[in-house]
Amino acid sequence: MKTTFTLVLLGAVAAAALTLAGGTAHAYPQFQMSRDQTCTGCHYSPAGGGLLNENGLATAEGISQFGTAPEFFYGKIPTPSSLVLGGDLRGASGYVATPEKLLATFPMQVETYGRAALPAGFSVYVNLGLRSPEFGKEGKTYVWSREHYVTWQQNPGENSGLYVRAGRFMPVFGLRFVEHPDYTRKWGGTPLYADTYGLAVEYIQPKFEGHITGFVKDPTWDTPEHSNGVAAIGEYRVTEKFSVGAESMYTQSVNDKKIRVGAVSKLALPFDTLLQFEGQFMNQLVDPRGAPKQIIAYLMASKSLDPAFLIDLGLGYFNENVAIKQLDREAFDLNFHWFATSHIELLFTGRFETLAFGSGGPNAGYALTQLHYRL
Amino acid sequence: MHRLVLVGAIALAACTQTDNDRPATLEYVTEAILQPSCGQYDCHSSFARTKGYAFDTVAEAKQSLGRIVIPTDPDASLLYVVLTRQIKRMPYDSPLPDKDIALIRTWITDGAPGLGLDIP
Repeated sequence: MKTTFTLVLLGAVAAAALTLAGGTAHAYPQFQMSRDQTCTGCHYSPAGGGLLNENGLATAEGISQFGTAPEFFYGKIPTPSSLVLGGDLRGASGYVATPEKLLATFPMQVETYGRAALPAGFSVYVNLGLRSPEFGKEGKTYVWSREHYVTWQQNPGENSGLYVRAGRFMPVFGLRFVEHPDYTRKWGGTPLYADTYGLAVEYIQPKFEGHITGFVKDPTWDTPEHSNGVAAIGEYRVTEKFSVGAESMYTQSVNDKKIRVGAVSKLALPFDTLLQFEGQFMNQLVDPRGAPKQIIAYLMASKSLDPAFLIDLGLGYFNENVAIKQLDREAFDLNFHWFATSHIELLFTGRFETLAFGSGGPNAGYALTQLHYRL
Repeated sequence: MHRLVLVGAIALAACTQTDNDRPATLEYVTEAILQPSCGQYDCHSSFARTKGYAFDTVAEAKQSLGRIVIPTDPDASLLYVVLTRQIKRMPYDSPLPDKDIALIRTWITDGAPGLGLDIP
């Protein structure tokens, strides 16, 4: 009985920890403006995240404190020029108080990626990784492919122009922060594992980029995302230091419809500091009697130091129903990144969260150390 | 500019806020409260079904809640107990607002309409 209780408790702690900080690798939008204008400056994917291109590898080496060969397995495993391999391993350990106080250590991400360039501007991208098992089918779902898609690119070998993608990926929306607990990801339409099957048309230029994605829920298994919909985002870089954008998403499931409209902005300040903002208004239509209108916002200030160190201060705001008092949440985030080598990042991340600034329920928070190893 | 618009929207919303007159229905409690806070990815989704419970769709929630709700008796309902207790309180990652818990209590007190359970 005691053993069963201990196992249940450990399972609960692991689930809590995964909920808190489980992650998948996306772009570091903190590097935009100061280094490259677009995600494709460093990534193969037009939406950012995953495999780094040649410039991305050079950036990883350039910013790291002890720059090592940035290629896959330090370049010791040669691949043809048309094939690029990579991966991400992440784990974390720390203290959580939500409000129960726990010490937790847990894996977050074990994923590998491959991209093969094909003739006529086509490429195939496949991701394979480990994830929690599906209930009742434990043996079948330890290994899965969160992302797999075919891309046609107008200008192969370049990082601008027209892209068309078809397959399984996250609908392109929002600022695409790395950390999925950020409110605009968790509450803002791109929560963890919300990848769907979709068709995206994306146009990217240094001055402007636009993405529109039509998507359907995964028909092959019961993933956490149950909606079909369409998402669109466009960003215009007014100057090299300032951009503004607009976004919208419509999703429909068996039980509800969600309409989101929002704005994004980035402003590069002196001393290698970047401000990023995303705000969304969401109308959720549950049934004729329920239509909560929500606000989701996030403001992050990032300062690059040295440049192997990056510090982020984030402010999150989520109001699950603006018509009702004391349903707002506030998050105060602090992240400290150390890019030790081209492959190793150490991240100290902390959050203090309030409900209606302390009057709507118990406060919560966490302080975690995350180790990220890029293959 | 859009930050000013957002601040304005929040301020306007704050001026017209009411106390807690939301519908205490299975559909509303599931889609507006349980799904976003409890039914995500590795927790109580249809996929992971932690501890056997799923709250990410109304159909799944109906089945799961039927095992942890005693109509008209919130204090004896496991759902209400795990949302309010001090040890192993749910959700683990961030607590629910008191107003959401109060709405769930109202729904249970009203007989948990939608679950199709007999009122004791």
